[in-house]
Amino acid sequence: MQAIFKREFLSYFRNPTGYVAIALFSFISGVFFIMQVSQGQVEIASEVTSLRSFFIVIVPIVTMGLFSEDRKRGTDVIYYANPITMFDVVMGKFLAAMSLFFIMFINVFIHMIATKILGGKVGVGSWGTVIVFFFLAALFVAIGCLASAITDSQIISAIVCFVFILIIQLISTLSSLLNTAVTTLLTKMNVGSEQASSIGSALENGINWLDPFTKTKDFRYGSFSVAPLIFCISMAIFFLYLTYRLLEKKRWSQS
Amino acid sequence: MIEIDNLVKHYGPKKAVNGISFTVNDDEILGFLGPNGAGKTTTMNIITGYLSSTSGTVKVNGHDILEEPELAKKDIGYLPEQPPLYLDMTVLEYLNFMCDLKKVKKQDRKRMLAEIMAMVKITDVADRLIGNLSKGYKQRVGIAQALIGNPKILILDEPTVGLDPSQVLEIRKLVKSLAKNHSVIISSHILSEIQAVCDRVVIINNGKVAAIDTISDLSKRLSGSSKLLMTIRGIGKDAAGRIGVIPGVNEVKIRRSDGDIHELEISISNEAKSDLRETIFFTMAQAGFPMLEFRSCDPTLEEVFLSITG
Amino acid sequence: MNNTKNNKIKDKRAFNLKLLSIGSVIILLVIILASNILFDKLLGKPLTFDFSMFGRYSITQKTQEVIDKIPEGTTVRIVGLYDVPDNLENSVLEYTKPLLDAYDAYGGDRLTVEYIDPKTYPSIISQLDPSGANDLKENVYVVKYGDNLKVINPKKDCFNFDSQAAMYGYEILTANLVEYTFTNAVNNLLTGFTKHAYFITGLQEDNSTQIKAVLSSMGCDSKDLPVSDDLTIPEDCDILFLNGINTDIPERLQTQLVSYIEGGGNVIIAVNYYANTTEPYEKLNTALDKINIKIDSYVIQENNADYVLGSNNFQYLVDVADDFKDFSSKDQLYSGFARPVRTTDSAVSYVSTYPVLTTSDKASAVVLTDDGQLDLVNEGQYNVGMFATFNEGDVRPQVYVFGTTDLTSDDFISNYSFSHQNVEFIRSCFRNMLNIAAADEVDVPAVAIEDFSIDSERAASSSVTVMALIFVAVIPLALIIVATVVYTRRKHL
Repeated sequence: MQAIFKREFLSYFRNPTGYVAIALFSFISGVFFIMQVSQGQVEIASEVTSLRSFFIVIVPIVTMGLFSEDRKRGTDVIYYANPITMFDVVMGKFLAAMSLFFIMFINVFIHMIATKILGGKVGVGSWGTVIVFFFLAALFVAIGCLASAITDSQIISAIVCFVFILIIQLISTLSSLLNTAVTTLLTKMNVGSEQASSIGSALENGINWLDPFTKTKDFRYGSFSVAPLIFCISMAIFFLYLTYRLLEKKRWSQS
Repeated sequence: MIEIDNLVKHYGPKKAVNGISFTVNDDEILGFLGPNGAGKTTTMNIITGYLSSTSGTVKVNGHDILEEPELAKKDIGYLPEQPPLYLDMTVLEYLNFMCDLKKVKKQDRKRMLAEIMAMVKITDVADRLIGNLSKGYKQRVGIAQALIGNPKILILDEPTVGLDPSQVLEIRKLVKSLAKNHSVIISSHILSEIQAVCDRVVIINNGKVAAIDTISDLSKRLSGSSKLLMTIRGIGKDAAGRIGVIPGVNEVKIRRSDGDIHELEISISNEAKSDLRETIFFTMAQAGFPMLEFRSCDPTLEEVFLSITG
Repeated sequence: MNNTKNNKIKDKRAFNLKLLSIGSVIILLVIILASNILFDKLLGKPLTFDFSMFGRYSITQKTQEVIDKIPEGTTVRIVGLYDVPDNLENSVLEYTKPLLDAYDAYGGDRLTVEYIDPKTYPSIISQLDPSGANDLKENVYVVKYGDNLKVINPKKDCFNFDSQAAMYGYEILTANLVEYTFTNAVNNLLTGFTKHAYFITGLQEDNSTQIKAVLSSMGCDSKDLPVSDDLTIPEDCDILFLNGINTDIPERLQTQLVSYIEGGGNVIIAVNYYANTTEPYEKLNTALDKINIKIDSYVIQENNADYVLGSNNFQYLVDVADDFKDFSSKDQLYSGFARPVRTTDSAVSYVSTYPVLTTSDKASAVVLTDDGQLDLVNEGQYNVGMFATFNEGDVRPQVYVFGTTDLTSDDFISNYSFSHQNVEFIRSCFRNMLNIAAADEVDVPAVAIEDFSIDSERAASSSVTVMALIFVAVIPLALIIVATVVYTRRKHL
């Protein structure tokens, strides 16, 4: 695992990828921070929360090459034919991507210090969003790993990852659309309107339960909860396991 | 030592490998020969643990590749047909990464890398980017990575393909020198290569083993007869007739005629009890046909191969 | 075809691996979902920790006591008549929703919190308010217990705002009263009101929303009493409030007031100088004359720099008189644009008057003349508030007269919120008048709002520009340059 981690992590800095991702993150976070400074109010929690919407761009950049590039170049043989398990490979690469996020995040820590220097406050909610940021990053990077393992094209893996994250970001919108659709449909089928809308909203709530953003939103107000973090990390484990299984499949696949 | 027993691999309805069994002894070079698509690469991938077989077992020094993959893989160095190289790393970075993977101890690493790089002659490109190296160098880096960790068994899939002749010779020399303390399986569709480096050869065709033997035994066993080539000056048909009646001679053909110089091919039955060459010599001398050339000729591997796979 | 089938069946190893692969993925997914749902249901709330500043998402001991008082088998319903938006950010719900979740969590069967949008469930309106008396609309909270209900505006009732900023179109929250409001609503519904305050309306522009909220936390409800020709002070009146009046009282009220006081009533009068600088309050003073008090038509200017608040001589601290020291934790209250309150010359023998709030001895009364000039009257110590009661007979009326509105106005309380010493002081006045023990009150503290503003001086300095340049331009550009250098250098290795 260490070997894979080391190679993968350093590879971000042997190529422009790592620098570009960090530069992009620095720029976006810098803009958010300076905008707040100019308004005289700096709440790091709000900056970090806004930054989460850029997962959709940064995660694909970071993860798109993790497995697809190996497949394309034939270097995946290294992982199959050497005395390491696929689990080591998946975890090594996942942790490498996570570490890159950690390095990007140094920007926000610098902004925290700058806030203190400017006489502002870094509230407990800010730390809450920092915790949430990394748990969400873990979830999305795991999704990125999966997207990268299904194809040997970086572009396709980036697009799949992008779409996946987009869907997660739009869960609440999509679920309320579904609610409306189901309610209208049921009402047309002569189901009582209140009954119809209760079925619709039950459906909506069920889908919304999967939304990691809604689950973790209270952190920014200083209300920390363990359950959403467990949700994020267990879903990340699920996606990593799926990635592992997908890579193992190559051994026995019949096609 | 590798024991391969009744290996089968299906790809959907297609049987890429269909019941291959053979053993690789310590410190020998085993040639793995077959036309394209015969199942060479698939077999090698199964041996190295890259693919799992449909049925059958592979045991590397007593460890089953499916049941104890880590122990089995430890003893194998694999160079696939396309060397698994990270083009964005330098040679040294890459080899260090392979050391990490194979868990080479820190204190041994420097010495081992220096030895290997000297052996495959890549010391002078150690700090260059793999992507910028020539094909020959890339191949050598590929061999170097297979050697890391000092595995007892080396599996080289078409190691000389795409190299220029002098590089081919060097790689062959290298492989031969490796055989001193490694078992080597080397696959190729180039027969001369196998002939040049291998002790034994496994010929596979359509996923099945067609023959396993030492190269010399194989050719003898296969032909069932040996041949003599003779060039004389005189009347070809007359000479052929005279030789044809000698007991033990199966067939005489005139391969080529140039004026009164004729080249004759004589097939001799293995049952012949004595060396027929003397008898033929005296027969020709009697007939007054001077012999310009006379030699015995064993079948080449090409011929063996063609007759087996044909 | 047949052949294919046979081969597939024969390939047991691949089949088993496939089974293992797909099976384990499905099993893992099921386990993960099930354990998460379970965890969420069982441990989700116990394992939620409120680290927020001021613990604004946790209910206090006081609220827990109130919820504990709800009799077994009955339920207090808190219903939000709207859909909870997904994004609470930049809405007051960001404070309300999580706290109400805490009510819900603690309340169990006794107290529930629901959100029902009347647009999708129109029947909820008639279900909550069958008589239609409350004219329920969307976007409010309804607290319902038995047949009684209380409507709470999620914004106006639950927060204090900076009134100054509001004039410029900003909305700056100064305090979070969510718990204060809801807990009092629940408590009031549970116990009913035992005390009644009446607010005279029609003599002022301002409302008395804030002071009414203070009263409700003491179990005292508030009703308006508009001035009219047949105005009668009701029998059940425990406190009569003339809050922030800027017009003299009519004759009818004058006589009613006198008889109310003489009958032993409790009165609080606060006059607003600012809104009407020249009003002499002749009729009011005639009434107050019965208790030896007079409101002058000057305004007090504080000349002692230690007392003055900010740069304005008309806003200053006032000393709490010795007799009232235990009314507040601080010895000085805030006052602004106050008229002097003094004893009258024609002293009535059975009346005792006490100064309540006094200025320093360097204050002066000022008259604003017709041409807008300030005319200094006299330097000395002035009273900003006075108290009068009877010292003989059976009745003991209690009358507070304040020359300032800083103890009772919406503006002031909203700006400084319920924890301010002025509010603390007026609370003590109520306590004395209503004869209630402090333990009976539901005194939930107002929660301050987190302030993320930065030092404006430092923020305006040029170093911020440098910082902006570094964060937005230098760091990203440097990284891009490093990327280019690394790329080109490695490319030629």
